[in-house]
Amino acid sequence: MKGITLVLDDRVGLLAEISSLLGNAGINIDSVSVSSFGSKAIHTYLVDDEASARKLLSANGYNTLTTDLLILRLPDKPGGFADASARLAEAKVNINRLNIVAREDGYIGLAIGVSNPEKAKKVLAEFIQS
Amino acid sequence: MKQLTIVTEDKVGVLADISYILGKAKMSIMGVSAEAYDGKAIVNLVVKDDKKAQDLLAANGYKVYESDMIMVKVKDAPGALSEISTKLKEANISVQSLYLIMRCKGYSVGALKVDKPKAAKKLLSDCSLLQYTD
Repeated sequence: MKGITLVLDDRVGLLAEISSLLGNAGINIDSVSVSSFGSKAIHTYLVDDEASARKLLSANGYNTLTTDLLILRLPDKPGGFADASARLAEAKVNINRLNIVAREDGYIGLAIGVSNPEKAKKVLAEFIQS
Repeated sequence: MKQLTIVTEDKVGVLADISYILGKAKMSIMGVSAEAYDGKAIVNLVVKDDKKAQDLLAANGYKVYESDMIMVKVKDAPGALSEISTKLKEANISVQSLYLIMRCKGYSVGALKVDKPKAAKKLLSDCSLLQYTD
């Protein structure tokens, strides 16, 4: 799965502008993460129509980066992620980003970006959803 | 509701360590978002017992920052986020962080941190799930 990441100069209204662009085009935001560091804002969007969203954002002057993400399905309980993340650490795979994408019926869906996707897929095989 | 932010060196095993520390203490992670930027790892956490988590993490050598956040519940549909973020923009409120905590049964719940929490709470009272407290 691919996430759309934008690194922007932070100002009031950025989220409103971007989410309105997507919303008006009927594109659903499945998950979002916004962080600000000093004067920069980093937004990552997971949407139901990645190609259209990227086109739309580019046409409106936003520089988009692509983040490759693995989607994991894990039991939603204390320590549920500890096992998966320990396996990655043992395999020397770094997690660059992590977001919740779903949470329902005792399970949690996580989108993770990693330094070595192939290796991550191997050590987390039974948890990988896509 | 509090958000805990951990800023640490970006290296393999940081998330494994944090989730192991909390998991071992049987603490459930309600919300999490992690990002590596410029050699640093920034981890945002929402847990039920923030004091306990803060003590545990500090005892394990992590620098933990605490901030107020608002949990907002919106319909999982195109335009839902645009509606609340436009309200914030019109009130000149800056969004400092936002991430998804839960997504089920047609709704999404997000953890929102802003520069003016009181004003934001008033504005978003119709979708604020757990109230911001002083």
